[in-house]
Amino acid sequence: MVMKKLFDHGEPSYEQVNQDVIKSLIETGPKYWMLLATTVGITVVCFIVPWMYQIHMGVGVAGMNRNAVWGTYLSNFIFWIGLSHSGTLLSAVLHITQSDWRKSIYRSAEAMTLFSLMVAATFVMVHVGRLWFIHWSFPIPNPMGLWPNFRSPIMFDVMAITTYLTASSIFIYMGSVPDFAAVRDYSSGLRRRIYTVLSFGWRGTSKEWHTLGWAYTFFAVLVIPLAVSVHSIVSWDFALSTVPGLHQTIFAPYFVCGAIYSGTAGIVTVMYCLRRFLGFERYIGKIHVDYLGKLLIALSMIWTYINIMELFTGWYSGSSAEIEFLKFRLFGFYAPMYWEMILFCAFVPLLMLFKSVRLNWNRMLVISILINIGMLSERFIIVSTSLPRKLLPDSYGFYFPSPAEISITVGSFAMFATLFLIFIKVFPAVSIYEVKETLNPLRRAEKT
Amino acid sequence: MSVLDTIRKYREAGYYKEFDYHWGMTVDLDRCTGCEACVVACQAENNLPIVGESSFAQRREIKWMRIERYWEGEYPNAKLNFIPMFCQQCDEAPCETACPVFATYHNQDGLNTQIYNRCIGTRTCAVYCPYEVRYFNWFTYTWDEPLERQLNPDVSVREKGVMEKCTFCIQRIRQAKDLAKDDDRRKVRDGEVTPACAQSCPTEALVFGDLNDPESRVSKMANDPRGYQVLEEQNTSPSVVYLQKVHGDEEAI
Amino acid sequence: MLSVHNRPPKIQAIAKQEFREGVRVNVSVLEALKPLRKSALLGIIGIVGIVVGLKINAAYSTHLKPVQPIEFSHRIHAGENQIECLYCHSSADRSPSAGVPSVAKCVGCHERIATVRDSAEIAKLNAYWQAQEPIPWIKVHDVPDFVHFTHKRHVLAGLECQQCHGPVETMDRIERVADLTMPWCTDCHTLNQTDNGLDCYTCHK
Repeated sequence: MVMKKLFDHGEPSYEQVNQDVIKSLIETGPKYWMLLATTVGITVVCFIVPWMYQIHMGVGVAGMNRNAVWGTYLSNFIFWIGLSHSGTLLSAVLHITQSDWRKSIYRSAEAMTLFSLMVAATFVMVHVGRLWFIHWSFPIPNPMGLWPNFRSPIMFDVMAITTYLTASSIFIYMGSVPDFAAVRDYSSGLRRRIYTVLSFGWRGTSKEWHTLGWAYTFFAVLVIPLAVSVHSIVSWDFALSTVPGLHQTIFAPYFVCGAIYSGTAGIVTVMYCLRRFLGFERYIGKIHVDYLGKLLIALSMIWTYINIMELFTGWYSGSSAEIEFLKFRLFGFYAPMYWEMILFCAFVPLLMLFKSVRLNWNRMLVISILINIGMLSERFIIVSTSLPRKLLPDSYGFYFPSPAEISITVGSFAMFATLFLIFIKVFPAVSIYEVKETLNPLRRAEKT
Repeated sequence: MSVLDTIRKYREAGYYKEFDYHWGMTVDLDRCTGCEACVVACQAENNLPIVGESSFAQRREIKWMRIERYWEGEYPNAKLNFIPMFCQQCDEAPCETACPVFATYHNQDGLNTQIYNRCIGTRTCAVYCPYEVRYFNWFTYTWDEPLERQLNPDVSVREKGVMEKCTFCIQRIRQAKDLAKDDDRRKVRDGEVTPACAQSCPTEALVFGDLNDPESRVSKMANDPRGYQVLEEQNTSPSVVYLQKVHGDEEAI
Repeated sequence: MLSVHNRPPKIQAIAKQEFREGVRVNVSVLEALKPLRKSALLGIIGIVGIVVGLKINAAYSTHLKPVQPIEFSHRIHAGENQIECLYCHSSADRSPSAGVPSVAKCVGCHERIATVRDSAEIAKLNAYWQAQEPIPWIKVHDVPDFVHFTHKRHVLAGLECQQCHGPVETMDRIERVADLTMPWCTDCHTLNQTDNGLDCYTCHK
């Protein structure tokens, strides 16, 4: 096996890693504040305000009706859960396989997981009819003696998402503790105090390193099955119903594959932004975009295969309801969206087979965004073409999102951006200590 | 094997036997004229809101009972079939596993309950229901000035964000049980409970009663050879039995 | 993999230097939290205050004791004069609601009781009677609209009124003693093994 170069522009020195990462954390220009103000503004105007209006008026503000009781909120929920899938999973898998190229990108990938999960959880809250009673879906002991229904796939969802959220938060935090300590040692005043607390008094003794390494590997192993199970469980929300087009055994692998697919594309987008706006060109380079591109090709092929199988099983079932639904999906009102999704998710990624595309960050950015547009439409199509074509022809209906739903969808992206912008100023976006692990030990000897 | 046997087939042996009732209904499609008197009666009895023209156009109507129309054949020889569709009170109800908070569960009388004040509005039950008989309160609906006086005090008025569906007029069932207790009877007699729809049906197409009692009118009707269940292949084992419409064979005449 | 030698050199240098000079490395979390002590204390006081306030509020709303339009005393009527509950609340054993007596029923007796005919409270009653208006009593034992409680079944089951309403015959002004929450209901239904009494449809429909 040919060892690839981890760093495009030559290996940095130890001091330089510290300098680069901490600079990105501390030096905050007016551009950053303007960007943050913009995203916060969009979040408030497009997300919070329509949501408040909806809470006040009722879910009727959205475009759903009695034939399609689930709509954009739920499809967005699946999309964001899907986007969350790659970060922690990829980080954990690559940690266990001891891949060095993971080390400069995993922190932001995990942050993406965390924030997508938060946005997804918010969409659950937007979706429900009576937000003020949502605590009833948690198994909290209460004097009424009533418990949630553990047979309900929604309940599985609550469990899976909260577990995944907790595990991912601990995972990302644990990996950041030595870096918090590094920031603490490089800063003074209030910032030093804050990072002292954040770093749990980390000193860098050999026992601490040993414990961290052990605990980190333990969590990496724990997180992998968790990530796979979460999206399987989300798919069961659909697959356990009797709706044609949703009631399929293939749904769990379909959702998991699609989730990792869109998540990996999301990582490419985020990496591009980190390179471009935070100046991490030295740390995030050709090797990352090359490997991620290859992963995307593989995932797109699995995804395409499962999509063909989905159509095949629907057709092969011979059930008139299934065929009626397939007709609607392939040739009905939302057919352009469906074919757009096939184009973006099955054919466009094949461009990455060319090295000239795969190694070019700008082209990869376009492809990764197209993939996520495709995946967003995939989730929308799953919800909005199957529910109006259920079993009774009398109840065939139609669903089109209302302005409030579209606005909240736009706002969710701004919310994600806000969270991420806050993240890059609190967490070192590139892991300091793990990048140093990949540096040439001989050079370290030179320096010290 | 009659339909009544298939209802019992998927249930543990004698599940309802230890309880007093298993409420059920039969719908004789041969008698149904599609007059929608049942729809109106249901609307009046169960405090169903009038959602207004625009909401209706958006298919946000709330009608626990609806008459579905299906055409058979092409225009000159077209035949019209009506199927009154309401909650089938399935024994293997998909909606019951869907609800995360037990707002809908199976009670001892064989009914799918819907507890409005427990509902958090995830709408999963409506997705899972193959009959699409669950209706969601998209807004808090109000009644205009004199109309609120016709509200039934025995039925809760639902607020926004709550799912609702046919309850087999649970308030009437409870009242009949109440009166039976006054008479020191353990069980309600056949014919003492009539839901609003069955009561208003001019052709007596709807018959309501206790399927546990082999002598009740509904049990006898359910054993009719014309009996079938809607979407039987979904294996939900509904408590509602439809009696097939028998078309006259014109050519033979 | 992780090892001792991979520590950032600056920390190593600082640690070495501080070790040599005998300086304690200031990485203590408690140290960093010290300036927060005041605000933490304020926070704790605030939380305790809110909890106590909620408790007081709950206690107050449990023992609801409003001032009624007429100072009607159950102690005099039900206690001293031994009038049956069902004499006034006459539909308690045959209807879901116990029934508040009409003004006519009050006046019916009080017209003939000479000793109190001229008291201030009776004058108020007579005013309502003359105006032919109902007395706007304030409901003390109220449950939400989605709870369909029925007095009839409970009275016929042999429950004493006092089991839920407390010692009414000793109260000058009526007061709520039970909290009328769902666990309060279901506890009794569970203990007495009511016939199908824990089905939600028993109360909610």
